Parts: sequence; structure tokens; C-alpha cells
Amino acid sequence: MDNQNISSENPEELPVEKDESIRVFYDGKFLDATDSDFIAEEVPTQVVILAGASESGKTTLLASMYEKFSNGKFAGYAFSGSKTLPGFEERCHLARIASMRSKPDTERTKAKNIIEMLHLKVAKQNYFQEKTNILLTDISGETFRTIRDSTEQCRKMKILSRADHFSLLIDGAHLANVRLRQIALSDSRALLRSCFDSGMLGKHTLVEVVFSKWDLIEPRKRKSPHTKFVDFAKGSLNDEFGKAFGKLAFYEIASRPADTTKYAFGYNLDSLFLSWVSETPERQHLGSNSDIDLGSLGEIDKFASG
Amino acid sequence: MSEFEKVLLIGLPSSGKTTFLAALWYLVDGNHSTMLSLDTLHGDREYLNAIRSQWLSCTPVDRTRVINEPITSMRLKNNGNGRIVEFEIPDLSGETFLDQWIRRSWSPGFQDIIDDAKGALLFVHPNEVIEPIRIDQADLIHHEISTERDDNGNPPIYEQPVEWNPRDTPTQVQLVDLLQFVEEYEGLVFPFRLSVIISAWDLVSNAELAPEMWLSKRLPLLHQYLYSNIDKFPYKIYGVSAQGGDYDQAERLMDYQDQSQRIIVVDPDKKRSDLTAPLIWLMSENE
Repeated sequence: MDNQNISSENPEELPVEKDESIRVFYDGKFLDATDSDFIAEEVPTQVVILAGASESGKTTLLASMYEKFSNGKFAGYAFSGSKTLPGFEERCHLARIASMRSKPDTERTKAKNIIEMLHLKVAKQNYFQEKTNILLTDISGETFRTIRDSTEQCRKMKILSRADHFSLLIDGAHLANVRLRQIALSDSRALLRSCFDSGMLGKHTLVEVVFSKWDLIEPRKRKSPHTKFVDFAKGSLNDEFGKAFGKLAFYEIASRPADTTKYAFGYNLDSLFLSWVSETPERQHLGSNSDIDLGSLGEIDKFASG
Repeated sequence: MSEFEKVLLIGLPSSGKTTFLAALWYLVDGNHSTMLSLDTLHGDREYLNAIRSQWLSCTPVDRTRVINEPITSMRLKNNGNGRIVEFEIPDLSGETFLDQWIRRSWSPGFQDIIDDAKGALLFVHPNEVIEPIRIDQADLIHHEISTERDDNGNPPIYEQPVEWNPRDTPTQVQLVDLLQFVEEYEGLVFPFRLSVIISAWDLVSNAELAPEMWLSKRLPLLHQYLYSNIDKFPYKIYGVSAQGGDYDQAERLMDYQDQSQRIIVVDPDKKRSDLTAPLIWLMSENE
């Protein structure tokens, strides 16, 4: 292109020539609804909402699961791809020696007006044709507080209705604290109630209640005074929601235990992962308690947390 | 009549691509006993001869220090079946591939280079592998690996974290994403064969290990990706020491009258092979 006639005094007016020879790929930080829709066309896809209060361990859970695959096959499955490798890597960074930290950490997820999802494609060991996409949301605790407190806001978060799995983390650090444990249970119950009453979760959703940081609840790996409260919490949630969802099950995990001589890194993540990858809700239940059209992932609205 | 095959060399910086190419050129141009031999000479061989000279003098073969002629072409004959194949082998720098991972794009011209390629040699160097080491894994060896000491003689603790830098991402992750870019490109015909070359095989401490076992231990994410996508990327893994040993053993290496004897190639079954075996695998059809 001849640019000689264009005034050099206004360089911003220079036409930008698109270089067709440069091929740009996905940025890999996260997938949004449109990208996810494309992913879901290829192989069966499980959408997993990681829910819970701030610092309950949602991001640490997804980062630790990725770390397990980084070290070898996991729970009978092999890593088969990911469109969000930079996103996983960035989330793992503060728990790696490359960060030069002495103690592992996870960067707190900020509230955003877009749903960020991380992607894992896995293949069943010895049956590599059987592949599954798992889309894991990374949504801030503040966002879940908003939808807990407002059925209207909950309805705006349309991805909830597309979720195959709703994994609700209850912070083990709070459950192990007599002053905080009732609030932790009450808030979790309220979040489930809001999602159910709004019709966003129902028989079409598999709900996993995940007691995180289990190493704090049973530090000696045997029943502690806190275990009794967890049993009470399970009974209470079962009484209220046992028949509300496609499934209500409980998991005790320690994604990144403080003392790995007592609890292995990623303690019990395998059972939770197996639930995600191998259990699918029965979609015919949709409509039994809701008039929501599941639609495709591409139809998910951007969620306004405000 | 000869067939035409384009083969890529893929690898991050210092992964052994150019050393492999230099040794290959030494073998096929020198009428050594290999499964592939040079059929006819044509075109400019300046680049190949330059890197071969470096290889023969046991100095690190640095493609940036030689003339800029990275695309080479060799017309090779398969001594087993008489088939003649013209290989076009672009020798791109490791920085090219590092840039692909960081910038999430192919630079101008790369698409032309990869177009119609039949397969690739994928290089990994054992000493250049960045591993994803978690802090909890490193705690026990922290004292041993840290050379710095504070006033009390302990390794210093940094509480100002270093920001994430894609350049320092584990090797296995970078290579998987590079292959995923290839997987996305509609200008290729799949299956796209891969010969994975574990360079500097003489440095691998457990020589009894099969190359695939080594890969599964050191780069497990890449290994899982390969075997779960074998329909798209049929692969074989070779242990190769094109140099034959450390550069500080230059005298010993140059002592070989026949320099081909210093090249070490271990095939997927741990059997000794020759340097052209990974290329033979790329051009074979129904294995």
C-alpha cells in the first residue's frame, strides 16, 4: 500500500493493514459462552458450576485438579486437551516454586460481568475414543452472595440452568470454627434455596455439596468434634433438598492440604471428578419445576453481578 | 520419479533441532550406512554444510550464528524399498515456537511453511525441561536446591511473588498448546505423524528406560495428550544423542574416525537404530 500521500502529522489516521499471514489462536485465558458453545459441539460436555463463598476453595479446586493431570493420569482418565492452558497455568502459579513464594496460595477471583470457564478434555483410560469436555466456571464468591440474596439476580445467571453439575463448596476452615460454622451452613443453604426457588437448579441438575479443606476438619485423619457438625449439616441439607435435584451427594476434599504427609495433595478430588465426568442429569426432568429453556451455551447472557 | 514430503522440526529453544539436522546431513551426504541415503544433490547446501562443520568440531550448533538459510531440502532414498522422497525440512528457531505459545499466533510465513506438511519431528531436551513443581513438593528439598542463605543460614523466603510469565510455563504445557494449534489448522491432513525426539539421550541417567517411559515421567501431560490423540497424531518416541556426548568431551568425541559412531539413537523398543529412523517412520504409511 502506498502511504506517501497520507499526512505524517496524523499517524493515527494511517489505515491499519490486516496481516492475513498471521494466524491468531485462542488466547487461552478462559472461555466465554460463545467459545464454550463451539467446544460443546465436538464431544459430550459437562458444565460444572463451582459455587461457594469467597475463599471457600473454588479456584484452588480447579487448579489442583489440573495439577493432578499435570503429574499423570487421574482417576482413570487421561488429559486429552484444553483450550485454556494459560488460564490454568496462571491460576496454579502462586502454588508453584516459580512464584518464589514459600507458602502456596491462590489468587482471589474478582467479580466480573462475564462468566469465565476453564476447559479440560479428558479421555477414558484404555478407551481413548470416549472423550468428555469439562467446563469449569471460575466465578467469584461475591457473585454467589448476590444470587444468594436475590432470586431475580439468580434468574439472570442463565448458565445455572445449563449446568450439569452444581458443586457447592462449604469452607472447611469455617466449619472447623464454632463461631463461623452456622453461618457457613446457613449461607450455603440459602444459596441452594435461591437457585432452586428461581427454577435455575432442579431435577435437571446434579448437586455436589463439597466440604473443602477437610484437613482442617479432621486434622488427625479421624473423627473430630467438627465431624459431628458436618454430619448434622449433611442431614439438614438432605432433609431440605434431598428430593429437589437430580442428585444430592456429599464430598469431603482437601485440594491443597497444609500437611501433605497426612493428606495427599488433591485428597478425594478423584471421586468428585468421577461424578462430573461420568454422571449426567436426565434432561427430561427439565420443566418439572421450571419453565426455563436450557438452550445452548451460546445463549447464555452475560451475567451482571451488580 | 520422487515423492515430495514436507517435514517440520518443532521444538522450543535449545531442544536439539539443529544438531539433529547437522548430524543427519553428515550421515546422508557422507554415504554412511543408514536406512536413508542421499539420492541426488541439488540446490544450495551452504547452511547444511555450515552446521555440519560446527557439529564435526564438537562446538554447539547454533543456527543463529550461521547464515540465515533455514529451509533445506534433501532428496533421500529409502534403502529398504527404493522409494525416493524429497524432504523439505525448515529449520526454524526455538524462539519461533516459544513466540507461538506466548503470542498465541503463528508468525507471518509460518502457515506457508506448515502447509501440506506430512508430519513433524518434535524435540525435547532433558536439560531444558521446565517442570511444574509445586511448593509443597519442593519444601523437602528447598534447602538442597537453594544456594542463597539468609543471616541464619536458611534459604531466603520471598513473600513478594514473582508474577506469572508465560515464558516460564512448563515445557509440557507449551508443547501441548503448540500441537493444539496444529490440530486446529485446517490446512493439514490428519493423521499428522510425529516422531518425538528426546535429545541428548546420553544425559538420561537411566539408560534402561524406554524413551516413551521417560516422556511419561518427565512430561506426563504431553504424554497423555499424545496417547489420547493418537488418531490425530500417530507417534513414535526416540532417544537421540546426535552430538554423542557433552561438549566438554569433545576430544573423546572427535577421536572417532567415523564420526557417525558417536551418534546414539534408541528406538521405541530400546534398540539401537540410526538417525534416519524417525524420518522413515514419518514417511511410512500403514504402521
